[in-house]
Amino acid sequence: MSLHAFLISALKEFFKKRGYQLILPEELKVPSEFLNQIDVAVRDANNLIFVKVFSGPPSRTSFTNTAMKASSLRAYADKIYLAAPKELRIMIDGNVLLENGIGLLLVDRSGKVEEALPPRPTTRRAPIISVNEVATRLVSEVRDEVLSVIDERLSEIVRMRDAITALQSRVSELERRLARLEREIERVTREAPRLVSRGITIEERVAPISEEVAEGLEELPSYLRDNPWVEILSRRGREEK
Amino acid sequence: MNGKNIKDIGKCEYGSSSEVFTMGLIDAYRRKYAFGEDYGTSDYKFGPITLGERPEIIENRGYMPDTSSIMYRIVGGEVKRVVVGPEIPLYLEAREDLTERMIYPMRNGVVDKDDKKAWDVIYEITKYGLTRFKPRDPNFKGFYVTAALSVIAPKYMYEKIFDIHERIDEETKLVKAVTIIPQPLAVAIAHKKPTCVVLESGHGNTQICPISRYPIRRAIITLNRGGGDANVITAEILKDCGYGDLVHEEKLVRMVKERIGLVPRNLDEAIKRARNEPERFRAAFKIPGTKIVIDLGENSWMRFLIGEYAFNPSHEVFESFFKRGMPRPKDVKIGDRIISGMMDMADAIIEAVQRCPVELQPYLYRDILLSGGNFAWKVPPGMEDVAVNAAEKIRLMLEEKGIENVNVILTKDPQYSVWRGCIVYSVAVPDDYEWNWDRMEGWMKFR
Repeated sequence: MSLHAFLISALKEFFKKRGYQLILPEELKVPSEFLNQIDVAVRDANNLIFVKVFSGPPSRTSFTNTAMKASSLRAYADKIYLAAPKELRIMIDGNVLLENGIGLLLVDRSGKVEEALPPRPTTRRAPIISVNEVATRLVSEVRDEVLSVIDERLSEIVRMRDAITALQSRVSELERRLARLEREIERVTREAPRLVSRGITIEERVAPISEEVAEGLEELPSYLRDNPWVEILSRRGREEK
Repeated sequence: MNGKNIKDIGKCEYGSSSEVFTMGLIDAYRRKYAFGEDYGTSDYKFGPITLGERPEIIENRGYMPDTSSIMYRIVGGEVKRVVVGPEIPLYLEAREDLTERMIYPMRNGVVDKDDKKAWDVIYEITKYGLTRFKPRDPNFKGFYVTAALSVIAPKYMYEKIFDIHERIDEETKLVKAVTIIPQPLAVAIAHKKPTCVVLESGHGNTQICPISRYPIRRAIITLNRGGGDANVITAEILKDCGYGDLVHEEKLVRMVKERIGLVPRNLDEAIKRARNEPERFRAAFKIPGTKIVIDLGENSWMRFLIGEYAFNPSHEVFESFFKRGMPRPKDVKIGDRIISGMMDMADAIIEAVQRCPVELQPYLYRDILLSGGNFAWKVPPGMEDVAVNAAEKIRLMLEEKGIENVNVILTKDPQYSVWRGCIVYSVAVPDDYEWNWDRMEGWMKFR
């Protein structure tokens, strides 16, 4: 087993014992160029913790470079650790770690892990959520959006239906009035020449008696008998002719 | 029948009497299918000619059931939106709902143009009336309908009534033709008087309409005074006599008015006589079905005020009532004219007649027809020397103002006169005389 693999194994064991949840790199929504910077990722409640293992050449410069790279992960995690073999602690520049809020985990040859320096929680991180969460949220958002559009369209349809009903009623009324006006125009047009000629005989004044056979009243009601209005009214519309 | 003259028609079909002559002028179809509609403020009188002397009557009102109620939702479309006629009591809900849901569409014979609920009620009662008499005859092509409206009905009411009949005809094919006439004209027609003055006095107002073959529209006078005003003074008298607790029930006040109210021959003389002979003129009666007895006692002379007020509210005796807060009858504006609500009836008749051609005036005074519930004043036996009926009162009032030789006629069956006039109109006006908006007569046809 290489040193790098040994360190990772020890770290995973360390976090597992503490009840942290290990996360696979594929589950993380981190830009791909950063993925190789993360050796171990764990979740502690809502906190996301990344660990970068230092296994490069044992030099102060190399350690500082690794620390700086690990620091670039702060935008995506709540806490960052740098892990290193315990033997290298003499060459570790604590100030670099302190300034960047990076914690230090030292692993001895037996695999025992010791938190030499606690990390400072990051104040801000980009949303890193699982694919499932993204999918759920997206579905929910899309559903809300669709429902809102449907609701809006339905209200619009109801408004249009009401407007159409009102219009239908108005159109019917206008049709009736138009028909009435047409009849009036027809009557005036028809009667105009007659008014000019006035050549009408008394025979034409008589209202034609319907050919229909109707039983009707055998005897007229009292108010119709000998009522001079019957004759007066039967001439209506004929006088001017 | 073209080519025959009027007399020939009478002879060839029915003989030579005047009745036969009338028969000859009437189209056989319309002897069966003439239909009358009288839109009164309180009642709707309707029916075909075949009813004979009396129309069918329903109250001019409609009930709008609570459409949000569970019953309505369960029964759905089977429950009517507007209920009219004798079915109304079956639909009544809580008493509190009555004011809101019971719609009386007319006020003094007029329906507001935009009062949708009122027009819905008018539509329903009209449809109710026509469908009630739907014949089974295969030759039936629809009724010849004559509708009568108040003489002060505005033009939009004519349009709406036509629209309603057109709609009903579209739905039922029951209306072959429809026309609209003013109620006073119908009264004149029913009483066979081509030249006359008609006074139609209802609950809210009194219409005075000279007629000479046509209603003389420019001469029409409307007094903002009717049976309701006589109720108002009856209530005041009851208060003065210690029955103030009863005046809130209008029906009771009306009953008191009808039972004790008298029209005096001469008010001053009547008051004097009643004060001198209090027992003879004593106004006392028991309200039927109750233990309440109303007795005006020594104030019984006041019973003459009730009748007088209907005819002449300007008498000085009424001033004390006005001073104590009784409202005066309101003035009414017709066009640019203002008619005082306080004008006495004789003055109103004279003013209406004077707006007609001078030559016509004597003929108009010759026949004055009184129609409507506000003229139904009785004279108790033994009081003929002091009390008179409405016709005699009008004659006396006109005589006092120098108009003599008038023939004032109290119409018989005043409730039915308008409907009867409508029937005559329906049978007599030629079928081919189409509605003319200038003359406001003729048949409106929809098909």
